[in-house]
Amino acid sequence: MEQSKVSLQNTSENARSETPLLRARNVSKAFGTVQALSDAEIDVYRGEIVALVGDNGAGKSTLIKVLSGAHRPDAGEIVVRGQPATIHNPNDAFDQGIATVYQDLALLPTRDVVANLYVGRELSKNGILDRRRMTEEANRVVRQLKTNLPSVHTRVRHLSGGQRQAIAIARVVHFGAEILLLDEPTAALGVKEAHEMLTLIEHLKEQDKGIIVVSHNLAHVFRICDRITVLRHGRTVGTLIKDETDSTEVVRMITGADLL
Amino acid sequence: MAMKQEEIDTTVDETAGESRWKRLLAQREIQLLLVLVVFTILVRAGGAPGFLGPTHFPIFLSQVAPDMLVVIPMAMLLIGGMFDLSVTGIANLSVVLIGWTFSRLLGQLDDTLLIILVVAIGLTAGLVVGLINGLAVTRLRMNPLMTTLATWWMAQGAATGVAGGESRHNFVGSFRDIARFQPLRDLGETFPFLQEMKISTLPMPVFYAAIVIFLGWLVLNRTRFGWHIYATGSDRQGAALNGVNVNRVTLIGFVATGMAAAMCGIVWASRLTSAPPNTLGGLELRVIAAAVIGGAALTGGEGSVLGAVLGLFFMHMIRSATIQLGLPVYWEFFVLGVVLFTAVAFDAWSKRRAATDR
Repeated sequence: MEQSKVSLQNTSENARSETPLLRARNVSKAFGTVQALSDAEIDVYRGEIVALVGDNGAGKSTLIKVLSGAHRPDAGEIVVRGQPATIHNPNDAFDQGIATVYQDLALLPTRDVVANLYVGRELSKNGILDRRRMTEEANRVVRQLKTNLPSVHTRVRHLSGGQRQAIAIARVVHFGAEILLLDEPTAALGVKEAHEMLTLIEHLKEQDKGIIVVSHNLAHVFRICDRITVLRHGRTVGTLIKDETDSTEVVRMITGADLL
Repeated sequence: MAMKQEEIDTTVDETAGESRWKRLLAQREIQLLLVLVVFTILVRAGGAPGFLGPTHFPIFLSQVAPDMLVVIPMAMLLIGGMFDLSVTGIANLSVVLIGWTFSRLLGQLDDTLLIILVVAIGLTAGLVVGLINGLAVTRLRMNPLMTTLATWWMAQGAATGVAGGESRHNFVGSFRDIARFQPLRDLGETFPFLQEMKISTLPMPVFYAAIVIFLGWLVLNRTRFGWHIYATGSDRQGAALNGVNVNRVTLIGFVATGMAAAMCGIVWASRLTSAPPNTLGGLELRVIAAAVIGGAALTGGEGSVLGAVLGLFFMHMIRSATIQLGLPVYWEFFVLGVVLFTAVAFDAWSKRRAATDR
């Protein structure tokens, strides 16, 4: 097993000569006596989708929270665009172009799409809101997403789960995020909406973003990702290239069945 | 699963296909405006033909004006997800402090200086209580209901204590101009139509109210701070995650409401030229109810300045109509209760309908 892990890593690294957008190495994090992460690692390149998979409690959420600045790691190294980065809080992460879209989204239900896209970063001229420019920009952003919304003046409360998620992603992309951490983006969605969400994520890949997707749904993982990083008991047990593996192998690595 | 998909699709199509009219009629302000028009027609037909006519309307406006000063910041506070019960206490404290200051310093200071001083003291009372409310809720994370109930009693108790059972009425004569001066009187002589329509007789508080309405509308709809108020009330945590300074929004909201309540007290002191500690009663529930009737949600994130204005108009129209129709005034509160109940029930119904739609 250890042997196979090393060889897999080598394959993935040989395939790429450029610097990864984001690379995390030897990340450890303990909560009291619980070692949530030990020697976790992951990297993502420009224009790439990496799936982060693992059983419940494998440390996926913890790793995402470390990368997004919500948790401070006990040890480990995070390198962004080739430069060692210190990420102490979500603002540090945002400054580095790292943005997380969590399942609960942090949207404002009673406000329209425009207000949600610009919350906290509203455009104004001489102290007066530039509502026209915000509406125009919002229309452009929504068109880019290829999501069909009735109008950018629709309140988020009236949007479907998939549309809300699209708005949450559009918000971070619009403000310059290049590295996107998506936590279970399809979990709360119906079949058709999940399909639309996956198309949106592929679309972001075409725009040269680096995307890490946490997902339980292997069918979704196999549809969109380029590589799959598997966590077990807080450790990265391997990174597989999608085209060189299948779901049986991934499941085996997730459960550790190959060790038996 | 397939069912669920279809449901989602129809919602989107429905919203897209909604006609302009339907969307306009779905707005609380438009609904309320229609209700006010129908109400006026009914009252006029029912035995009070002069209701809101040229003679009544200016009087009506000057009656509504002091409450209007408070309903605007209260609506903004509600939109930001908070509310303030202490306004009546603040207004009465401001009234009593003005009376007390006049009784101590009358004749010892220049009249104009004394008026400036009493106004400053009145406003300071509002500033201090507003700051206490705001800091208690944001720094100490105290519950706004209990906090402002406590400061209401403290302010009201202080007012009663300072008054000591007396109502002072030795005021500087020109102090009454704050409420009674009619700035358009001279204009009325040049333009007779202003006089005919009695617009030239509008007293100062109507203009203060107009300024407060305009400023409230401007801040809420045209500034970043206004959008931050909506964001804070819509989802406090979500807004904070996106860099909105939610505590600043709340603190400023309480201070503005406190100072507006003090201003309301100043207007009443000037109008009555006396300073009893029970000058105002029920102000807090009147303005909160008006804002809620106008579409502000107690859960925050919703409401508008126009809605609050119309809501307050409605409440005062009910009072006026009761008097003009010669109905027993004792029933006024019953009618107000029915109106508030209907407004809240309507809100709940339309939200439930929106929820089952999806």
